[in-house]
Amino acid sequence: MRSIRRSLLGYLLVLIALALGAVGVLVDRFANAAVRTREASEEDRIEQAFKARHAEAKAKFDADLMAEAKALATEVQYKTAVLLGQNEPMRRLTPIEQVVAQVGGILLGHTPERRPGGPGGFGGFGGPGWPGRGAEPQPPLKASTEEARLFRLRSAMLEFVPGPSLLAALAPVAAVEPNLRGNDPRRHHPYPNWVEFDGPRVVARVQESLRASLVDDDHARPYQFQLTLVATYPNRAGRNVATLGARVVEDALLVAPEFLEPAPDVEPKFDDVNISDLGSCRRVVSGTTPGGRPIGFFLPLPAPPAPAVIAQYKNYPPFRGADMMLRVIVHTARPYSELDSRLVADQKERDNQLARVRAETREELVNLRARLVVIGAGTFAALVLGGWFFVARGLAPLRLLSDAVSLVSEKDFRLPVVPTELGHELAPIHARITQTLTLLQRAFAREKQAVADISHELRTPIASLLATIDVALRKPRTPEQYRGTLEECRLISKQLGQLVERIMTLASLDAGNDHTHVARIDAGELASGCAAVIRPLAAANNVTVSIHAEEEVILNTDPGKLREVLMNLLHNAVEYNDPNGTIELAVRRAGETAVFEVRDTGIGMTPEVRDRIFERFYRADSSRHATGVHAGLGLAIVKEYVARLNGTLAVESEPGVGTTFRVTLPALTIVSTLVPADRAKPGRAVPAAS
Amino acid sequence: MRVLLVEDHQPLVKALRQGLEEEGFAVDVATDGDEADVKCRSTSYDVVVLDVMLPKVDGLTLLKRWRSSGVNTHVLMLTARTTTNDKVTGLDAGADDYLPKPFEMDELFARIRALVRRGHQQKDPVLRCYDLEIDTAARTVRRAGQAVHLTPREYALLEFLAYHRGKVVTRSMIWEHLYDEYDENTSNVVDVYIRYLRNKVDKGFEPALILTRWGEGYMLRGDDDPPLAAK
Repeated sequence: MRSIRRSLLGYLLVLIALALGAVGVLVDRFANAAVRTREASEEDRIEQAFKARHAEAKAKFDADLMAEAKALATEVQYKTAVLLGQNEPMRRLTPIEQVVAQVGGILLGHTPERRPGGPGGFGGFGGPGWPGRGAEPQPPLKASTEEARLFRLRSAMLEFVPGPSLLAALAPVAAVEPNLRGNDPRRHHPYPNWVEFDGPRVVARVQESLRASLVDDDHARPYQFQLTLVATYPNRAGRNVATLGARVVEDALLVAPEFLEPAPDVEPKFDDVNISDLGSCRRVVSGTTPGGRPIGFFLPLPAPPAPAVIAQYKNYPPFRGADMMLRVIVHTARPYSELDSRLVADQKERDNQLARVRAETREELVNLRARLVVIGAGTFAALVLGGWFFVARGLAPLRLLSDAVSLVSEKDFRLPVVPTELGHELAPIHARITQTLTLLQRAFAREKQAVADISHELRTPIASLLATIDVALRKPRTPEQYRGTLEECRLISKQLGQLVERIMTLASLDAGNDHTHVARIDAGELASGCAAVIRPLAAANNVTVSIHAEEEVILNTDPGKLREVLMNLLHNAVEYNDPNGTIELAVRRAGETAVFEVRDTGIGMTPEVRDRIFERFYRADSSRHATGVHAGLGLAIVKEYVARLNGTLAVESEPGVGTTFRVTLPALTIVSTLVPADRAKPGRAVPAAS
Repeated sequence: MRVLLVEDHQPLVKALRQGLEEEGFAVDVATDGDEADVKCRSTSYDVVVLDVMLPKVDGLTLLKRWRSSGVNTHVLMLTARTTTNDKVTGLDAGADDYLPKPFEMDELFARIRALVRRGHQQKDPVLRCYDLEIDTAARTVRRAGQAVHLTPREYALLEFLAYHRGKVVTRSMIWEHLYDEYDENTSNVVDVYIRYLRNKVDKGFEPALILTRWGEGYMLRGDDDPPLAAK
């Protein structure tokens, strides 16, 4: 059997489990989102930091590149100045380098003091009249001692490099600078007139260019040329590209202020280039300031001091003589792989951080879920216990009712519980049980009464029988006396039998074992038969019986039961009639029904009595015992029979006036007398006479 | 002893009447409550055998009515109702005894006899007077150890005298208790039966136990009465 408590608890727990699940999923989702957001912001922060570091590294990379470009530019300028004889290159060389340079120079047929010789046009310039003008170039700031030394060496070497016998001159230099050896001067030709910085023809080319521009007679416009020099540092991958450009301004020409403006294309400018064997590279293009190093080839006079403000160039006094503005533009490029190698550590750290953040997030989520599960399980367990208890509490009224019902017994039919204790839901059940118990109690009492009545009714005849026999046996009797006793006994037994028969009839009706045998009868005939039977008894009581059956009424019913009904009613009518009273038995049709009326002029009944006459063993007058055969069962049987015949039973009575019993039977097949053919049908018409 | 039988079931009335009469009781019959009421009030019965279910007035109501109006006759309730409750109700209504139907005749007779004895404050079923012994249970009489054979009516007369031993009983008292309503009251019938009784009980024995009080009636010799000289 299912337990309500368990069912309720089960439903409750399913509900709670669903709710907990939903809440858990929602909490998990929100927490997940929050944690993910935090993770994203953390990653973003790390990414930003990395980008900042990256930018910083790139800026530094660019700054280094720039510094290198500037150093290179300075170097080239210096070299150029040296080439043009404006310097005292040997002064700051180490003794060994000086020796090497001198040896090289000797081999090449030059002396340090002499300018690299070319066609005589240049012989006159570059005298000691330019003190300090060609200061020794500073090596790049971050250059190591070795690099600085090499830088200086190369600067010095450039001074000594003549044109045709360059290879011989380089032989000692190569011992110091391995990278210079074997370089193919024509290796790089980005443009037709570009020359490699470290190529053997650089100097010659510069001189040639200068000479060409200066020798030209037409000084109406500034002369200019451009050379590309490629420098290679020994310990560094990549290539530095410098462009050497010079402008020669005619002496008579005024230097227009706009000309002195810095050229936009030589301002430090960074861009990315792709160099065939280095891949993607970062390049900077930088130039020396145009006004910074004017080179005067022929002018012995020092240039007037440059104005501090550009606007004042308008008032600048006209510059006489040829004035060559030599400008150095340096392209320096370095492959990005260098920057990338610097960023590898950063990248690794960033990846580590990201991995850590992700691991933390994952761990946090796992913890959160574990906590959710623990909380959910704990809540569920608590609810199981609490639910068990509270459901039991909630069901307490049910137990109360159950206990109360179990206390009901055949001795006490009261339900010992107050409906207010049970609550609204059980109140109807309580009411229903109470109602049923009341009915049961009444039925029980009735049944008890019936049993008592039956036993009482049976005991009296039995007592008579016993007493009669006892008396007869007390002493010897004559045969006549015995006969008399036996007749007495037979009479009593017959009454007893009738009584038992009636009780059995009722019991059989109660048990539903009764069968109705329907036949077609003539109601008037049957009524006449009954009246004939009752007449002797009526006559004995001084009562007259009359019958009224004007019309013929044929109906289908159980004649035995109908006769029993009428006989019982007539018996009562006789028994409860006054002397000299009358009894009328009427049979008539009323619409589709057949009506039997038994009217007497007897003592009548009060309404209270009338309500009870159909109860078994009830006697309106307990004294009326004389006939003995009814024992208060007659009307009960009448009622049951009429019900079996699907009829209705009505009583009208007035005390002192008389009583009318009216039996109305349904007219399923009332046959009018106008259809005699119907009656003539064989086997259907049954004589009603008893 | 005179008994009023109140019962409405004719066969039972018939049997009981015959049985009681054969036991020597004078039996009056009433078949409904009203008749019983009238008879009980007009005659002094020794015992009333009263059925509960009666026409007109039922037995319990009748009994209560009697008791409240001072009728102290012994009543034996005879009823088909057998539950304890019914018995209690009957006894509490004033009945002296209660006998449920169906019953044995012997038991009924015994109970009636017991009620008669109780009415005379007599516990011993054997009544004694000098050397006369009357066994009321066996209905036998012995005088000086010799059995005396009496007719039922003689026995009833002797028993009546014995119950009133030492006291004078008038002829009308004897009549009232020994004869029923249908017996014809002839003036000397009591005297005749007294003579019969003397012949059987006193003749040949000393002292004479049945005494005559002229002008009053008869009595059975009590212990206080001096033994008379032999007649």
